[in-house]
Amino acid sequence: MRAGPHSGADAARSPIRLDLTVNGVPVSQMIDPRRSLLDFLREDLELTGTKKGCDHGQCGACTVHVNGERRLSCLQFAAQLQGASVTTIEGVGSADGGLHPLQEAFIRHDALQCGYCTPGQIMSALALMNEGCPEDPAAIKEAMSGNICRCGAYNGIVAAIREVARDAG
Amino acid sequence: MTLTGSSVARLDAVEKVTGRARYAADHQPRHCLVALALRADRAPSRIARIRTAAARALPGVIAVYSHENAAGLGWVSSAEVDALGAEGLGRSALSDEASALPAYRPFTSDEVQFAGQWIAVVVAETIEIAREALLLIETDLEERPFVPGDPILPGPFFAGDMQHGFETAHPAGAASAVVDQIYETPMQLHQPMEPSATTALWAGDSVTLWDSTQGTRATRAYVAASLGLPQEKVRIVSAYVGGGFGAKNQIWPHQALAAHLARHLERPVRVQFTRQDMTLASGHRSETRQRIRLEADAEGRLCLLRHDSEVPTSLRGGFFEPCGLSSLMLYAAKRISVSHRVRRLPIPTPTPFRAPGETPGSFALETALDELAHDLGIDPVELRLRNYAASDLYHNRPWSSNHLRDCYAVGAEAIGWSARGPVPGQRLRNGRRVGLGMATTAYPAPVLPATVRLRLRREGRLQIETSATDIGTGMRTILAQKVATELGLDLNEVEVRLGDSALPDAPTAGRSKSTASVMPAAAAACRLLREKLGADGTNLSLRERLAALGHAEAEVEGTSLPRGADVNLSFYSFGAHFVEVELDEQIGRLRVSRVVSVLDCGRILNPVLAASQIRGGVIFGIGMALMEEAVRHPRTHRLLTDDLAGYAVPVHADVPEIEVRFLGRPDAAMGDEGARGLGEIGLPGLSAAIGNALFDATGRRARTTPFRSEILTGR
Amino acid sequence: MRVEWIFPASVDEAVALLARPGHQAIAGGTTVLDLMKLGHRPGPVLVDISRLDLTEISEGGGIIRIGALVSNSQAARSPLIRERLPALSEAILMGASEQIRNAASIGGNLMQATRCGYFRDLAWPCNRRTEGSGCAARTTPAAGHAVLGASAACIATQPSDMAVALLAFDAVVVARAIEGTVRIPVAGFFRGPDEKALPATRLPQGALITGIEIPAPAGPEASGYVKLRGRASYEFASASVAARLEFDGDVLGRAAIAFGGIATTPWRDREAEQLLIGAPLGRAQVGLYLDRALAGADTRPETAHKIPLARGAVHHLLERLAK
Repeated sequence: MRAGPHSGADAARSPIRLDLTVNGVPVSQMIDPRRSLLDFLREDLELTGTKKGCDHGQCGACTVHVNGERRLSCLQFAAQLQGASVTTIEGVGSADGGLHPLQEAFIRHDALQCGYCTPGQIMSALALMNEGCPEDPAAIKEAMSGNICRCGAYNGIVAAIREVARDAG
Repeated sequence: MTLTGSSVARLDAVEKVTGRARYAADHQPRHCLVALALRADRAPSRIARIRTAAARALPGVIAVYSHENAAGLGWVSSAEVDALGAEGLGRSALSDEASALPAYRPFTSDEVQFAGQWIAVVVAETIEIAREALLLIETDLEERPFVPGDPILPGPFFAGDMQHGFETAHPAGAASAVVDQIYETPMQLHQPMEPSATTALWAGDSVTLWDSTQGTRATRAYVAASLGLPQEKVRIVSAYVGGGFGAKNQIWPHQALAAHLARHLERPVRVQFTRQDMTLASGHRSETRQRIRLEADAEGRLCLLRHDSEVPTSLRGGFFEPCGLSSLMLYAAKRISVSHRVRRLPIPTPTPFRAPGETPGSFALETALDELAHDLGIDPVELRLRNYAASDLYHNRPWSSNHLRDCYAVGAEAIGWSARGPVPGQRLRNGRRVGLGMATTAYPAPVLPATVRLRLRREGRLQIETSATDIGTGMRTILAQKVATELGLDLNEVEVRLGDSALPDAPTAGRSKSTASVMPAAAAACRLLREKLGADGTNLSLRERLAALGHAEAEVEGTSLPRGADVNLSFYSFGAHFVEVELDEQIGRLRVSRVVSVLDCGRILNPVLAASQIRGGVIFGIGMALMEEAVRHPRTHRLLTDDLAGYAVPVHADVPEIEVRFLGRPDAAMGDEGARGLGEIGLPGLSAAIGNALFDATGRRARTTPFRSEILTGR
Repeated sequence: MRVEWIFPASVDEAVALLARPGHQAIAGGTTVLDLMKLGHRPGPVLVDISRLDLTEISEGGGIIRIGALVSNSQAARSPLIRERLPALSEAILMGASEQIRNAASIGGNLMQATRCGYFRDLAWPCNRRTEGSGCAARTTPAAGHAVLGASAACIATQPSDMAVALLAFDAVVVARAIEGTVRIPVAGFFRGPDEKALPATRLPQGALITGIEIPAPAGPEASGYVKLRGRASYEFASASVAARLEFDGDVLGRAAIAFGGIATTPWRDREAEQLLIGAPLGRAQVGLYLDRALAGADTRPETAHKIPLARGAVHHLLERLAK
C-alpha cells in the first residue's frame, strides 16, 4: 500500500452554495463539493432516517426521491441538486404525523425486522406506485430488487406493496 | 386476556417505518468527530514505516493514530480486555502456543496479522476530510513468509466435545451401504444492513456509547476494562440495532477505540464502519472442509456416523466453526464419531454467524443422508425416521421435548412430498426441471439468567426495563405482550425500554436464548409486582392498589435463574425444511420456488414475528446455496469480495413465498410458558434441502456451496 | 482531494471546457462518486453537463436517436425503444436498479468504469487505473473476469448491459469535439486492451457524447436480451447475450448476436453470424455458430464456467425469439 503525498491536497476545497427543497422546506447551505446527498441529509440536515448501508450503490438503504424519482442518495453528489426537490422518509405521511397507507401496510404485514433497510424499502416502493406498480408479484420483486433486506422481510414487503397497489388501483 | 401467543404488530414498527428509530450512527452530538480506518493490504507483514505528517497537516484533520502513538490514548494490549471480546472467544479450546500470546489488538505493535487489520485511524471534522487524509498516509509493509503450523485438535467448545467417538445401542445390522464424501462451504459474511457504528460522548468521567451491539452489558464490560474505568462509568445504548447475525455478538476493538479517542480529544467521536470495514473487522463464518462417512444396513439404520471437519482460525484468535456439534446428537447411529482440526491462517478472526457450526455442519450431514437414502432406495424422510434419536445419545439424556417426527409429517404433507419419486430427473414444468428436497434442522435451546424491572407510577405507562437488545428479533414486542398478559393490561398501558446497559442485566442476543432467558424474568417481575401491591384476589387495578397503598410508584425486579444442574434433560429445538426448486438447466438458472419449514420450538409467543425470524433464516440458507461466497487473495490473504456487489446476498427476486408452520407445543421443561428460542433454527439444513431438491431435479449432487455452475448446467 | 464544479450552459461551452487539462464531464455522477469514495481522483474539475438539453428520444430518416442525457430508465420505458428495440429496453432494465437507472445517463452508461475489484481498490496494481502499474488479475483472476479480448495488460470485463444491446443494433455513438461532430460505431467504441489498457474507449480526448444513433430496424425482427448471474437481479452479468433475428420464411435472413460479461468489450463475431444465415434455426446450427464465435476464448479455472453459460444463453434466447 502506497499513497504518495498529493500536491492538491489542501487546495481548493472551497464550499459551494446549495439551494434546494427538502421535504417541502427550502434549504440553503454551504456544502463540501465532494459531499453526497446522503451525507448532506444526515450530517448537515440531521435527517437520519435515510440510512447508510453500503455507501456505494449496492444496497438501496439510502433511497430517497429526487424530483419525484427514486434515487440512491449515496451515489448522488449534493452539488448537482441546485433547485431540486428531495423527499426523504421524514417527508412521508401526513403533516399531522399520520402514517402513509404503505407505512401502515408494512406494519400489518411485518415487512420489517431490524428496520434499517425499511426507510429505503418504503421510499422505493412509494416510487414504484408512481411508476405504475405491476400486479405480478415477480415483477414487483424485480422492481424492488435494488433494496436489500438482510433480515429477510421480503415476503411481507411484497405483500404490503401488493395490498396498497390494489387498494389504490 | 392473553396477548402472549397472539400476532400483535411489532411495537417499534412505527419508529422504523417513519425513520424515527435512531441507530448508533444516527446519534449526532454537537461537534462530533468522525474516525476512519486505514487497513493493511497484506499479511503476514510488518509495518516498516508509516508516515502520517501529510495527513495531519490537512485542514480539518484532528489526529492520526497508529502503533507509534496510540499508547497515548491509553490504548494498550491487555489479556484482561481480550478475554472479554471477539479476539478472545475460543482461545481456551485451542491451547496452542499462539493462544498464549497477546490477542490481536490494533495499534499495539508493528505486526500485521491479517490483511484488513487497522494500521492507522484518522480523526477529522468531516467524512470527506477523513477520507482524503487516509490517502495521504504513506506506509511500507514488509511481507513476511507465512509458515503454516500443525493443525490444532481443539478441546471442548460450545458445550460439546470437538474430538469424540462413542457407541450406542442403535439396532443397526451389518453395513450394506456407504457414503464417504467431502463437503465444502466457503467463507461467508454476515452483512447486516447496518454497518457497525459507535458514537462516544463523554460527560465528566463517564462515557455514553451509542453502539450497534447485540449485547449492551458485554460491551460495557469490555469498554470499561479497556478504559480502566469501573463499569458504572460506562453506558452502552443500543435501542435500535440494524441486524447482527453474530457480527455484533462479540465485542470488537473499535467499540472501545471510539471511547478512547473521544476521551483523549475531548470531543465526541463516531466510528462508523464502511461496508468494507464491515467485511474485515466484525468477523465472518470461515470456510469449512468436512468429510462425512455414513454406513448403514440394508434397512437404512446407521452403523456409523462420522463427521470430520477442517476449519481455520486467525493467527491469534480462538473462534472456529464447530461443524460437528449437531452430529453428536441429532441422529441415532451405532457408532458416532466427530473430530475437528483447526489451522491458523493470517486472516481476520472468525466469529459466530447465525447457527455457528450447525449451518455448515448440517449442509454436509443432511446432504450425505440424502445420498445414503438414494443409494439404499429409501425415502429420505423415512431414512431419517429410522434413525430418529429418541433421546440425546451424546449426553445420554432425554429430550426436554422433541416433536421432530411430526415436523416431517406436517412438512411432507404441505409440500406434496408424495409427488416425489425414487428416480431423480423425472419432472418438468414449463421446460424447467423440478425437484423436491428436505432436511432436518436443529438448534440448542440454552437459557441464561436475566433480570426485568417493572416500574409503575400513578400516571403514565408501566415501564418494562431490561438491557437486552432487540436487533430485529421482536424482543420489545413479546416482552410487552408478556407483561401486559401477566398483569391484565392493554399493550398501550405498557412501555418497553431496552438496549441500554444501565438497565437490568440480560444476556447478549444470540444463540437463540433471549426469549427463554428474558420471559421468565418478566414473569417473575410481574408476580413480584402483584405481590407487592397485594393485587391478587382483589378487583382493583394495579394502579388503584398503588393509590390505595399511598405509594407514588412501585418498582420490582424479577430475575430468572440459570438452568439447574439437576435438570437432566437435553434442550433442543427441531424442525424440517421442505423445498421445491426449478432449474432451467440450459442457462444454469436455479430458483427456489417453494419452501415449507415446520418448526418445533415450544410455545410460540407471537406467530407473525416468529415466522419472520424463520423466514430470515431460510433466506440466509437460500443465499448460502445459491450465491454467498467470500474470496481471499491466495498470496496476500486480502479479502477480494469486500462489498455488497462482490459478496452477493439474496434480493427480493431470489425469494419465494416461504411457508412457516409451528407445531406450537409448549416445552414444559423450559419453565414459564414453554417457549424455546428460534433465532437460528430457520437456517441449518436449508441449503442441504435445496441441494437435495436439485439432486431430485437432475441426479447431480452439490457438495459445495454455493452450488457450482457445472452442477447447475450439467456441463 | 480537490473537486470543483462548473456548470456549462451549452454543449459548445462544455466541449471548450473539456479541452482543458483536469476537466472531466459528469452527468448522473454515479460512477464518479462511487470511485471517489474509494480514493480514485476525479477531474479535479467536474464539468456538469446534466442540465444540457440532450434528452430527446426520436426517430427520423431511418435512425432512432437517444440523447446522451436521457436517463437509463427513460430510455428503457420509452414506447419507441420498447417496441422497436426490445433487446435494448430489456438490457437496460436488467442493469442496476431503478434507483440507479433514474440517475444514470445513457452517455454515462457507456463510460462506466469496469467493476474489476483490482481496479476499484487502490491497493492493487491495475493498468486500467494507472498505466504500467501491472495487472493483479492476470495472476489471480476472479469469477468475473474476461475470457475473450484479454491481453497481458488487462482482463477486466466491460460491465454495461446496454452497450451489448447497442452492439447488436449496430448503434453509433455521436460525440462533439472541438473540431466538430464525430461518429463512432459502438463496434469500435470500446478499445479492448492490447499492450496498454488505457484509454478504455476511442472517444477523442475532450469530446462529449451527445447521443446514440441506431439504424431503425427495417423489417419485422425479433430481439431480446438474456442475462445470467448468481442471483436473480441487481448483479453484473456472468454472461449475457443480446440477439436480433429476422426470418425469411423458415430460414434466418439476418442475425446479430452480441455477448456481455465474458469479454473486455461488448463482443460480437459477425463472420460467425453468417453460419446462421439461410438455414433454419436449429440447435446444431447454433452450436456451430457458438463453436466459431467462442473459439478464441482463453479460460482459467475461475472463469471457465462462462463458456457453457454463454452457450446456454444463446440457445435459450434464440429459442425464445424463434417462437
